Amino acid sequence: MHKALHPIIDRPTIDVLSVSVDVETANAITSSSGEGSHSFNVLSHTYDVFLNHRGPDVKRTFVAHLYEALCKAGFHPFLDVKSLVKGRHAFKSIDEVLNSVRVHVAVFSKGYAESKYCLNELCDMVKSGKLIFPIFLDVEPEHLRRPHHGPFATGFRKHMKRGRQDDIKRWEKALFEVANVTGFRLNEVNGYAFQPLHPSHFTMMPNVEG
Amino acid sequence: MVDCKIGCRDEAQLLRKVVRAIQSALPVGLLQQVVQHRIGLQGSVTEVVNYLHEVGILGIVGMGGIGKTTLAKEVYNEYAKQQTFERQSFLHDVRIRSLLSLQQQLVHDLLGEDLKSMEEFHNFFNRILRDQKVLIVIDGIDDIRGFDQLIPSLDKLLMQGSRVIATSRDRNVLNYITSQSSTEESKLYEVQVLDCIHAQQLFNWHAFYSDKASDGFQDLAKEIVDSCNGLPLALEVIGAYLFDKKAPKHEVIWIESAKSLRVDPGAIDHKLQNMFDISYEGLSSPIDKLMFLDIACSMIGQHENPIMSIWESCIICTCPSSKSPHSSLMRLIDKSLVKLDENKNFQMHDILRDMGKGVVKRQSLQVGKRTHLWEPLETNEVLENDEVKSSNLCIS
Repeated sequence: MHKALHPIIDRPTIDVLSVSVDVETANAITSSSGEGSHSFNVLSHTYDVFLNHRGPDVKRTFVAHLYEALCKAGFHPFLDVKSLVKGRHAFKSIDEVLNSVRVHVAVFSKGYAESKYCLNELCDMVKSGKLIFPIFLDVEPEHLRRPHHGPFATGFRKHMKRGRQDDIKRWEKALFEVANVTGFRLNEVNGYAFQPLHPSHFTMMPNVEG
Repeated sequence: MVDCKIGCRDEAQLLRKVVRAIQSALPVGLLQQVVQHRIGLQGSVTEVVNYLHEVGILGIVGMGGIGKTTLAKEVYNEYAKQQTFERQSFLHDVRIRSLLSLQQQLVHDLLGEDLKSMEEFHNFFNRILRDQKVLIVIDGIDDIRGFDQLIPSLDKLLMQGSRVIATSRDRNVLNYITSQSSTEESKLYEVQVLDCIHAQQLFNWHAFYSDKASDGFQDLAKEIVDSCNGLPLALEVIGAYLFDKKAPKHEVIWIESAKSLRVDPGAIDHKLQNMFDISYEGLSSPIDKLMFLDIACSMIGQHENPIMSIWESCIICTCPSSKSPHSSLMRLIDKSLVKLDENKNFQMHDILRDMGKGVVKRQSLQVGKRTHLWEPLETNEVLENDEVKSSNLCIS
């Protein structure tokens, strides 16, 4: 004897990716369809990891690999502004993305400081108070503390010439903060100093101002 | 100023450390912790979800190490993201847990309440039946006893749109459980081994942290993958073992591994044992091995911190020159022999646990001479006969 089985889903579902509506409209649609508590979840399509990096330096290599590894591990990393346009979704601006992510990754490469976008994003990341994981590629934390020397000097000279004195002060502060956060470094020289990963590194929160 | 930066040898190691750090920084919340590389899963998740449109209770069957739990977790997470059910519960390690602890978790997950005794369970279950649509995953069940007390009125539960998934190596157990429902014919989903392409990808992600094998290792990688028969556990453990062995001098290790995995194609158990032996014997320090056996014999499900304190004091007493147990644990995790779950409790695959216990059993025919005791009867016997030697390191 077979009794009728109640279906799992008994109301129409809305796919935010396919209709590309903003969050408010979506909520309005859901609540007008009866029970608003389920069958619609914007959160599952948001970004969770923000990748701050200097595109021309590392896009094709390291960041692409990191992006792929994070996707394989089930994350939704945000790579750059281009994906705002490509993947039709609920975000209008980079600010919304910065607000929605749960963790930041900053990839410091030699040309990093040439981009004011990178530096501005970094300020927002520090301000957000969320966890930041810095990655140092051919750059030392010391270069972040003294950006007018070392590989960042060229970029900073350029910004000075263009009269971005106020911005420079903010950038210096953010770089200094991030230099002190527990991060990762690729030691490409032969005599690498391999330091085993201690679990307490993971729980250390970056010391940032709100 | 002191720089606290974690140095990495190569890009693969850097990527692995960054992804792990992000994974442990982001709590999984209501989701189940999944594997580090989700490869070849999407198709089977879709199939299971499609089946669950038609049947109320689904059995997931397959041999050990094929990925039943992983698939069940992925399906669980998929539903959690879609918010299809009002509440969900994932019952782990059903085989080794008491009925009361399973009932307690069900009541906690589905009603948010505490169950004090088994007598109250029926009332609570009736409340679940009254107005909720729930998903219950029963993972690793190997005995039909207790199922009726865990899900007392399966038909009523399914009638209102709830769903039950059970995983097991034993087809008969699943056939019995699914036949308890009169709503539909029973359904079993048999997990398939990975196809060549996905098997190669999974191995490459574990061994190279990339989709592709590094130059010079392609042929050996293919040979090893071919001998793993598409079994995800074998691919993961062998891949993780070879991760830090990619210098030219390590080529011989790859050749040896490929050779010892090349046993006759039917004997999967034999192959898994060889895979385990390669990885376990490859542990460089005796401390790593002992810690692995400690976890396998008696510490699965226990929190990292108190155990770490015990290890620290043991190591200071016996071997003061040795490095901290933290680095040993990290190596065990890197080798995919041990996992820490989202609550920092030790976890280990059943197969690896049983093989670890096998190492201890082979130490001596006399129970009293083994390093670890975990069976209550054996432990009593040894204690009563006053056979405890200094060689007994761990009694649980």
